[in-house]
Amino acid sequence: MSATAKSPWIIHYDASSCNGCDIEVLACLTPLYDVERFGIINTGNPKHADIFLVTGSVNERNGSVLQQIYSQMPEPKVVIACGVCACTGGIFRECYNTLGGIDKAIPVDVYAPGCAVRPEAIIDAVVVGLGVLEQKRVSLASGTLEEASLPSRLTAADKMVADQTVRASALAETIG
Amino acid sequence: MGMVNLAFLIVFPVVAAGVLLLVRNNRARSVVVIVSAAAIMIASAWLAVGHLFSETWYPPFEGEWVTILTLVIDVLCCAYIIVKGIRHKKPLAVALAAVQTVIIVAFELLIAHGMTIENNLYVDGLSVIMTLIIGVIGGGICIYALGYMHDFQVHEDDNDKPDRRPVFFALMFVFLSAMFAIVFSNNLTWLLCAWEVTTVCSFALIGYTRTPEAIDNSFRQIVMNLIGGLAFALALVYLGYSGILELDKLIAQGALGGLVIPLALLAVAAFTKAAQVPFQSWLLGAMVAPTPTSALLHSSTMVKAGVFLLIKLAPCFGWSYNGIMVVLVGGFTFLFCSFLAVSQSNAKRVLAYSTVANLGLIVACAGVGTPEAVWAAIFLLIFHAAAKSLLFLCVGTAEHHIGSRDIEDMDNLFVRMPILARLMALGMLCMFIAPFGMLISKWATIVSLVNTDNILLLFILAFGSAATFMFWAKWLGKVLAIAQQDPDVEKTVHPSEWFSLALMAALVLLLSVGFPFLSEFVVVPYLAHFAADILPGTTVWWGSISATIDFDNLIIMAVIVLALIAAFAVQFTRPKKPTASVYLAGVALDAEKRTYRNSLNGETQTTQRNWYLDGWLGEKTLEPIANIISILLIAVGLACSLLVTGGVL
Amino acid sequence: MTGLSFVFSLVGFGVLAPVIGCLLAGIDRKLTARLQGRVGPPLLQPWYDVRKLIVKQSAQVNSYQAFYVCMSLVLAVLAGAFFFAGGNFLLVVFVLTLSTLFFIIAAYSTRSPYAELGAEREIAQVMSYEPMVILISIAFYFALRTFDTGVVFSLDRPLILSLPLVFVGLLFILTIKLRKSPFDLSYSHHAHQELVKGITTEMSGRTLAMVEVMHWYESILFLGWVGLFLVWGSWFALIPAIIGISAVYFLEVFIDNNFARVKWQSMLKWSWVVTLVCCSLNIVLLYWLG
Repeated sequence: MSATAKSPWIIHYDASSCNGCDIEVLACLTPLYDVERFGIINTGNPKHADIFLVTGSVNERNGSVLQQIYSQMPEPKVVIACGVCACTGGIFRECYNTLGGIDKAIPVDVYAPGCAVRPEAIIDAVVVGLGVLEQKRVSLASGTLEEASLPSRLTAADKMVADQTVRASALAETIG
Repeated sequence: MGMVNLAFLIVFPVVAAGVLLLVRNNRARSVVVIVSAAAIMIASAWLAVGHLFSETWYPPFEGEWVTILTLVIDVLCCAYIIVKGIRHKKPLAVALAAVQTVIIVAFELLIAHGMTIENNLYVDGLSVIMTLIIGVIGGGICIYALGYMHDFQVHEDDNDKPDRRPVFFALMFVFLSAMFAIVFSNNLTWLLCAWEVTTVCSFALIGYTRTPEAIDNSFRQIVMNLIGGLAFALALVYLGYSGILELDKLIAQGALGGLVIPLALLAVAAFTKAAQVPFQSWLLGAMVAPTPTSALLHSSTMVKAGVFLLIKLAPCFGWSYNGIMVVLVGGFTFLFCSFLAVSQSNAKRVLAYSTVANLGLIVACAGVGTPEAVWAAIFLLIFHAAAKSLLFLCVGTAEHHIGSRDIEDMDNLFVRMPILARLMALGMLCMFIAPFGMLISKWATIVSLVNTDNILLLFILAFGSAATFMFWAKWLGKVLAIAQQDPDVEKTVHPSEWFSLALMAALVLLLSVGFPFLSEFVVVPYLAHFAADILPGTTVWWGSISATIDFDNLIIMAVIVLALIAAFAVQFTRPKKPTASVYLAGVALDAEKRTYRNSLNGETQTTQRNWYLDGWLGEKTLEPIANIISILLIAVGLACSLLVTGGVL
Repeated sequence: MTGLSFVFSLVGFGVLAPVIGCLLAGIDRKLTARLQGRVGPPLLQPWYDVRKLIVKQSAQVNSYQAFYVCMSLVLAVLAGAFFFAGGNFLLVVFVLTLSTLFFIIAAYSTRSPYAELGAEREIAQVMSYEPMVILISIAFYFALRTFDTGVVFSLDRPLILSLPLVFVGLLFILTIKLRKSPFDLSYSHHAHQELVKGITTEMSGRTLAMVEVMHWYESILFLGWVGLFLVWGSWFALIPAIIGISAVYFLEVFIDNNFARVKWQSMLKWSWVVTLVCCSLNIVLLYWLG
């Protein structure tokens, strides 16, 4: 295991979480779970971070924030979606202003489901993320790491149009 | 040959001033100024070649008529002040000038007349160093003023003000002549005359713009300096009664413990000239004058006349009542003015406070009086002159091109005026950080203070230096900040300004690198010659003379300077494009302009002000305390000198 | 300080200081974890961190920041080399101040709001500890009539016996210099701060690695200052010196874990009060002892 995998520094961003998952993220730092055993530090600064931990779903307002923080993290970097809202939009998925999971805004490497996500699941996701991080480090060193492309437009209106199209075609199918 | 050179340095600037007064054409004025400045620089250098390393030289010059001339000049100066004072209804200035005229005339006719003067003039290492400062830096500033005053006049034309540049340049050159006279005069009446001429030049230049503020400040200057002039004249009267009218004899007598009262009075005169607390407010007020004036008179030369006199008199101080007064006034001035500088955001006021603080340090060193302390004082004087004039000139140019002299507006100067910002940074580094000259001199000050057990002053130095770091570092940070690709506005800086800026910067670097050699071959020999030629053999405490800081350590510093120059030279020649934008919590709109999306979906620009600690270190809080302490110190010092002479103490 | 001793010191300090400093940083984190009832990271965690930072992609907001940080690092090493070669203490202090200035300028150069605020706080920190640092050297001179640090190895008894209060003052400002709570105003390792990562906010990858390594060098240099008070002219002196330095380091970690960060006003006020009281009383004591 290289040094990169032994020293994953984290930035945690609360997209639009109900704070349930955030509390579980913080719980990981407590003596009971003690993630610093794996060299994990919560830095709070994208420029220092290797792992982007996101809780909550993406809406029109925070999509660009997510993208900006993501793009300010130097490679190699890994994104972990923590909790079901971050994975798919969760119970907010159908909301008028919700776009869905964070993969609507940035590329996600590891999904950690749960409502709220359990600390064990977070730690597990980080450990899986370390494997991805290591791969990316190798490809960065060999110059084959590809820059992730981010969706350019993020509006709830797009999503509503898309949802309506899906519904209309489903309706058409049902009616026959 | 030396005599001709000396006469040239004193007389030629006056001739040049007369020509400049008549020339109205811009191009012709440029030619005259450049040629005259060059001539003065060459003559100064020529004098240095002859006398920089040698013992004190007394030019054979009788010049009885010069003494009469000085009397006429003294009376004319006072008459000028009286006329101005009556016109602007300033009774205090009129009264002081009148009293001074009476004293000087009475002194000349009743006491000095008929006294034999052995040597009217002298040239030694220190006066050559001063000559180089006046000639090279002063000449450079006069050339700078060509471009600066052009831009200045454009602004004045907009306000329908007349073009008074002939007067401006004439005054600058008259001033140079008077400064040369100060550093060569052994005859104290001549010295007083030159002293008064510099005061009047400064008075006229502060009031140059004729705005109400400028006139008020010019009268503040003249009142304070007339108090000093009065003290000088009274000292002269006392000395005349004691049969001494020569500087070297005064030093010799004073070093043996005599002449306590005139020394105290001369110290007060030097305090006013060097703007020590409580007289600092005239120097702050003088910042309304055009910037070349601030650079020449109010930082690099005229205020140095005060500390020059004290450095000369240093062997008379030491652990005496006068010495303690000088040390404490200088020390407290350093402390309070360093604190006050923290609270200022106007660049020229920061420079003014820093000037007063550094002069305070020189004064304190002179008061300590040991050869070690004088070594430190001389280097403080040299480096302060070079670095401060560079900084003043930088601020002047910046002001004309960014439209402000506020430090907060100098944000991003690194991009807007790339060369100027680098020069300004160099000046600042030289003022407060090792391995540059001022800090090494401060180091030497510490050494001389610990060797004389000056504990109070050591505490003052430790705390004052911390404040010094703060106000320079935060300004430096602002200037070196890089934010966005603003347009480069230094394309229109005049070549004359570039020339002088480059000259000052080169001087700063050259002096910093040459520090060990300057110490070894100029300052230490000067101290030895001074002790041997002037001091009586009984002043044992001026026995062994060596550099205050080991040659090794000086060489280490010089090498670090060279390494820094090399590193920066390499860095500046390979600019690279940035590969990331700054972090603005993920809501940046234009990261280059530091704008972000606010909570109402609008655009806001982030702004950041430096810390000024106004509540703690503001003028309202500290100035009264400083003034009271200093007035008390001077009062007690003068009282003690009276009591000592009266045999009570 | 001779040329030869300087070369030895430069090589020795340059190579050994980061090794010991890295281990100390590891011990610090381990100790902190234990004080909080956690297991904590491996001992070599700081080493892994730096190695990781070196291979990270370079992301510079301007082309000067990395240069300034590099200058800062080089000068810190130089200051340490002067110190351990037995050079002039004031020389060490001044070179170190230049190093700190470059670090501050590095942050200012970005003109990032968070970095700039961190830089301003760093200046306040310098203003807080600088009087004490200068007065340490002055008290050193009053006690030994020289500024050369090398003389401590020819003393009959350790300096702490003649400068006990100055030593206390040194401990006080050591907390600022080692960037420990309650005086870690400009940046610290702890997350979620009002100023993100303060002075290091815009530093990433190799630049940040240089900052970490500089911190190792500085830790050793400052602990060397502590050692200056504890040694005397005997090989036996190294044992109490090492014990004393370890105790001081543990004390700093302990303080770090038990105090919340203070405002800069309190830091400035208290460090100046402590400086004034400790140094003046100690100098009086020196005169009283003769």
